[in-house]
Amino acid sequence: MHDLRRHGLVHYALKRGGSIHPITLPIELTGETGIMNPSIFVHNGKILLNVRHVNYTLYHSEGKKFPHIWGPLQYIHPENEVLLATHNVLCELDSNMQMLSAGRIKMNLDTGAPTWTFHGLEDGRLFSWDDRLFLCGVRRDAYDDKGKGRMEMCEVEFIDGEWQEIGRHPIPAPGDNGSYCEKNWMPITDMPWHFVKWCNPTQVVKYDDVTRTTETAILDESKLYSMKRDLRGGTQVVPIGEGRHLCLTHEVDLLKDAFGRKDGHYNHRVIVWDKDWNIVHNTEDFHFMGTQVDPTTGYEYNIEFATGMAFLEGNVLISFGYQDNGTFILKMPEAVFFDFVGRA
Amino acid sequence: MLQELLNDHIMDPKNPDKIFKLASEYDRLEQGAMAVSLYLKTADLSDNTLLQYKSLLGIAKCYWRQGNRTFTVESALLDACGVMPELPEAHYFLSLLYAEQQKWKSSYLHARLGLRGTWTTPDLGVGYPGRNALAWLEARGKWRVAGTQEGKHKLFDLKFKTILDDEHKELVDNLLSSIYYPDTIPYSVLDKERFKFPFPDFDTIGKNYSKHFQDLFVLSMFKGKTKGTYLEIGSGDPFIHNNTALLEEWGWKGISVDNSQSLCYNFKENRNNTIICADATEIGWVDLFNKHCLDPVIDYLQIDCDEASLGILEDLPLKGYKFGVITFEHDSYRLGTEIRDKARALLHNLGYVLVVNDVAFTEEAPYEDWYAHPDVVNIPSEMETNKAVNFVWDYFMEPLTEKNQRKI
Repeated sequence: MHDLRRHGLVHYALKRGGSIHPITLPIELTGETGIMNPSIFVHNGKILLNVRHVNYTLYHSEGKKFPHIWGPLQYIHPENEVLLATHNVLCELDSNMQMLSAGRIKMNLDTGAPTWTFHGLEDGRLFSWDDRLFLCGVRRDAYDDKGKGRMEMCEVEFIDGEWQEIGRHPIPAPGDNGSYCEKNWMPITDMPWHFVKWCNPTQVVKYDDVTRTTETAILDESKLYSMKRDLRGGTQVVPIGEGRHLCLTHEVDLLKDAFGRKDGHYNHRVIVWDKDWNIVHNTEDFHFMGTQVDPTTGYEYNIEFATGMAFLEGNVLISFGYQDNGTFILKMPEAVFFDFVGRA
Repeated sequence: MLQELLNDHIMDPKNPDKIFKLASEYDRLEQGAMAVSLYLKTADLSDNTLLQYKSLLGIAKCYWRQGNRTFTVESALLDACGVMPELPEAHYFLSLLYAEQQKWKSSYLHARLGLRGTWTTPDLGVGYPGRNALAWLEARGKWRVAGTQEGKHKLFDLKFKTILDDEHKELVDNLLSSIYYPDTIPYSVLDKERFKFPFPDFDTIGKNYSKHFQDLFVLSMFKGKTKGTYLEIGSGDPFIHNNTALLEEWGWKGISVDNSQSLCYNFKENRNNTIICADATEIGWVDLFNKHCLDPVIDYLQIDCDEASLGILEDLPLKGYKFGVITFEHDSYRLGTEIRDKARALLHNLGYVLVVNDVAFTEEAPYEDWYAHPDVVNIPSEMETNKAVNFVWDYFMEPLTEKNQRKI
């Protein structure tokens, strides 16, 4: 397992029959800026992948030898455009993870002017409930001018040769809905309208699309497990049999360089719940593509984010973003994956 | 290819050479964002300065393609300069970047630094077009910083003394067309091999003083004569743009005339030959010639007095005195051809041969005629011309070739 720490899960998987698949999008769609946080989902036999395209390119000097003039971790967007814009590109892949088609989702319900500088639906997880295809992420440009964020379900359908938004479902936070920003809720793919809002302690919420309210369905604050860091949402939550569910979460170390400038490191972890939403297993934290380690502090510096996973024909497919700039799909034989989950 | 390189990287993730290859492939596929991450990783992981240098250039290139990210492009290029300051590519791109931002001093500085590099590296595949491009940026930077003749001279040298690729030739041509050539087109010993009309001891001349080769024309006509004589009307500064300073160095004697007291004072202080401070249109030339006991044959006459040139020519005792060579300013490019044509008729009737008509300081701006009297000087046939306009550089210099060009 030492390979996992040193070289990452992708290296681990490739040595055991897995494969890694780079996803690229044409320059006409991206202008060469970041494509990230992809969410894979198998819908009616089709392998779909939502890719978040942003108007920036992350500059991250992991080794700190060549930081940007503003610091080692910087979001480089156009100098005349102080906004962080997100578009979503929906792709169809074949079973070899080769691109069959890709097109930007037409957001038909973008009617009013954005109220904040983060535009678009961010980090959308792709899933279907009742055979309706949804992308659920956080939107921060519709609530106030201070960046208030709420999860939104965007219903999409392929119409007239393009992916189009046909419905938008803003989801209030449970309780008084007074929080500043809700993000990274994980849809439970076999439980319509349910999300894992928080992992530790596990909070499952249910959104009622008729009353447009959200209620907590599961929460036992006494079940707080000892973890290195908070577990933040990652992929969809998928059933793995016997009422159990599994997902990948992410964790963040917010770091500073010698001059106090921001830096960061992301880890991931696999979480397994039993039928009663008790966390019955969690792996060690890991990263995907390897990282650089500061030899004096032991700190690692890498930014990755897995926002999609699916089981298909004896394999698990995990889609993740690398440094906010790249998109990959890791394909692992199920047996290898569960062996890893069991060992790690 | 991408898949293969990605697998190679994954299985050997700390190997900077493999990361660089993967970065380059993403770059080639116009996947700039991912290429940036991998180039940065290469630079961070590697201890090989050339690999770091290439990676940092790759980062700059990707951000440059994305547009409107100049601080980041600059940051990466400065890092590259810091890693290998002796290489030209990063300096070139910085110079180009600063030029786009009209930061001319910075553009000039990095062009100069790039040209100072003596390392010869193979093409790094980063789109560096070579030293021509740096020379262009240096020349333009110099011009844009101060707007002085020095910048024009650099541009002129690029145009006429160096073989440029088409792109940079056009850039130089266009800029020079808009700002015009330098006031002076000097001779330099570096031009020696191209000079068409050399004469004995020509090799000893390191530079000349005339605006447009008049002094060398005189010496060429007289095959390097020493101890000649002259009358210089409208002498101006004793050295700058002066047609007799070089002749004096060759032992010539003569009289210079100018109406500027300050220039005359300067002349007296710094030259040995005679200067008369007077308005040339009011001088009694016969009396002056008698007073100074001038010989009836004088080797060289210069008349450079703008609109007054013709009147002065007509006032001279031309029937009693012959001049071996005459350089006559008619400024036809701005005054029309009347002065020129009257002077031509007058001198033709006195037996003078128009050796070089319509001497021009650009390809299309004639301002002087140069004559010789066959009774005084044997006119070398190779110095006669039948062109409608004679741009001085083309008149005096052999065509530019790979062999005779100046290396940048």
